[in-house]
Amino acid sequence: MQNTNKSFFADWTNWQVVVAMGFVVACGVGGSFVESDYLLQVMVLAAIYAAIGTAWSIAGGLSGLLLLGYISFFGAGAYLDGLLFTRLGVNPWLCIVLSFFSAAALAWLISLVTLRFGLAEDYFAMFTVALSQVFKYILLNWDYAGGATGIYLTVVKDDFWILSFIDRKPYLYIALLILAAVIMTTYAVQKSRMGYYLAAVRENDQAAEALGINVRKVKTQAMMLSGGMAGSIGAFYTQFATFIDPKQVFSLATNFEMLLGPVLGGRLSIIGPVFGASFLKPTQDFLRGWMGGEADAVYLILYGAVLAIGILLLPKGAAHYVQIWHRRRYAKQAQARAADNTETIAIVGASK
Amino acid sequence: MSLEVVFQAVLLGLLQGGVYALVACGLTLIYGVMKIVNFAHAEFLTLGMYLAITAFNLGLSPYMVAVFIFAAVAVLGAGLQSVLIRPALQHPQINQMLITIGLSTMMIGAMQLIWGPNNQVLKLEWSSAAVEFGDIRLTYVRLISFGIAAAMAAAAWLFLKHTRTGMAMRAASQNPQSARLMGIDVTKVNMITFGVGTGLAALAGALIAPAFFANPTFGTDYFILPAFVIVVLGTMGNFAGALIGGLVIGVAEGLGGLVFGPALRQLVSLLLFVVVLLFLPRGLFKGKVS
Repeated sequence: MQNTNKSFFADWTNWQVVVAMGFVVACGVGGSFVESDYLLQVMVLAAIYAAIGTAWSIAGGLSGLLLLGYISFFGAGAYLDGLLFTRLGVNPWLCIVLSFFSAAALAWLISLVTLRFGLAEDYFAMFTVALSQVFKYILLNWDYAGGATGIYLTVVKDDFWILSFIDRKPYLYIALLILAAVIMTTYAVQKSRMGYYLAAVRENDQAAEALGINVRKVKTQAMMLSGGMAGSIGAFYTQFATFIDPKQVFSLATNFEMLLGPVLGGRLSIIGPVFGASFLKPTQDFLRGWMGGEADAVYLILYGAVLAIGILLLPKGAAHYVQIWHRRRYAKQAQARAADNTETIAIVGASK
Repeated sequence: MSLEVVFQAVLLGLLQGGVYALVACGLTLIYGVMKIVNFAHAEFLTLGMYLAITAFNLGLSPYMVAVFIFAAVAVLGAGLQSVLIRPALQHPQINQMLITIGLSTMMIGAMQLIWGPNNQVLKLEWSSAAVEFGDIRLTYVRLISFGIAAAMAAAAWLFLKHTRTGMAMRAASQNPQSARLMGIDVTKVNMITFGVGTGLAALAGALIAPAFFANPTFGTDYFILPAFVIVVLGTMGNFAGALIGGLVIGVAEGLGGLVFGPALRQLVSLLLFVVVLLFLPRGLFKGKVS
């Protein structure tokens, strides 16, 4: 039977990518009407977190890798852009591309070292966390990279060529474009053979190995893809924030904040990270701004509670429930279609 | 650099290492039995520090109340485990780790709320008094903390080796399902383990309170990474390994600080961590809680 529009949406991944992309477009259109710089700032950060979360979900969700120290890639990309742009005058757009490959290379190295001898996942998790802090300490003490003071982008004028704008809106559009690219990449991975390999490895990597899947290679590829994208997003972040320092871009707190979106939203899904981050990051920003100062302590308690209780209540993330709804909704259509098919076959059979 | 300076660094490292060992033992116990990395472990240390300071402000010596702090926090830890971690034991590991991270954040916030974000100090009159021989100077404070830490570690070791509960913990760490079949209440053992582990961390905190400034993120800033290194070095889940590893890392950091300067002490732990994971991922020892 030909693929009608209905059966396209019946597939959960397809449905998700349309909803996610629709959301991105809506944000772009909506953002064009926003005039408040503060609000635009919040939106850009939300888009960045959504992109990071979705990129993470390839290695951390789909492949089931315990990629806990993801910020290593983000910070590496951020610093690469910062250093190349301010010290060597390299074009930021090029930096974004370079950051992708550098971060991917870093991911490759990490995989080489940690994905062997069937090392327990916990080691991998702790290693990635420790690595992020190693970077932080090295950069804090590296004067060429600005040390504790960090890197300042002193050129701030409207120049598309060097990815610099006075208004916040162009940053929003670029951030949304990056998010869209990440979404489409994740979609492509989920739909491809690699996606199936990753799912197999996630569920039972020994069985996958027995089936002939090169588990190590596939995990490495997932890491490189996730890491590379984080690097690019980091590079963009430097251009947007115009100031980075080691404590900011290698912060463990930020690291875990970035994981909140995909984990609470549903790390096996596309809409999970996107909507998770889009909801959680702005809420966090507003709460922090509203509470601020002394109430920072209360904010921390609330935040920790949301994380812990959220995970207890939604171990598979919120997207899981959306998936159940989707399955039920399209199951009726699938049943109807199946009934059509059997009728057709019966008619054809009867007419013979 | 004279021999005495090096010797001083080594001795100080050993004393510090004793405290590290106590923290690491708690962490490795929890991992060994429950198979989760307790990212909130450092916060229990900080809590121990704060409790010691509060006790001191009420006129009690931290060394006298250390054992009570251990007990109090052990009960708290056990309670937190039943509420937050036990429901998630069937869930994927990343969820459990993130729950402990959430717990860590909550505890930092709570401590900030109760004791404020600024540094707190516990100043004993004899804080600066020290034993001196030659050019080497070891403060009484550090010597006593090491002594008590060593005593508590020995007590914990005996507990694990010779009591029913201790043996139950070891059994559960080797194979929780078999342990259950043998009639061991693994759920209760998990709870007790978490309590004991966090209690040890708090005890360590109480012991070092006279030597450091306390602030809500103290544990995370200075102790969590060395603790991880020690646990991995000593093989995750191996109690004796954590003890020995603690001393080794203490000395290594001490010497590293001497060579690279105090600001980079943490870097030494981190690099050691990377090196250990690269070359000795299963640590120096084999097996579980021994």
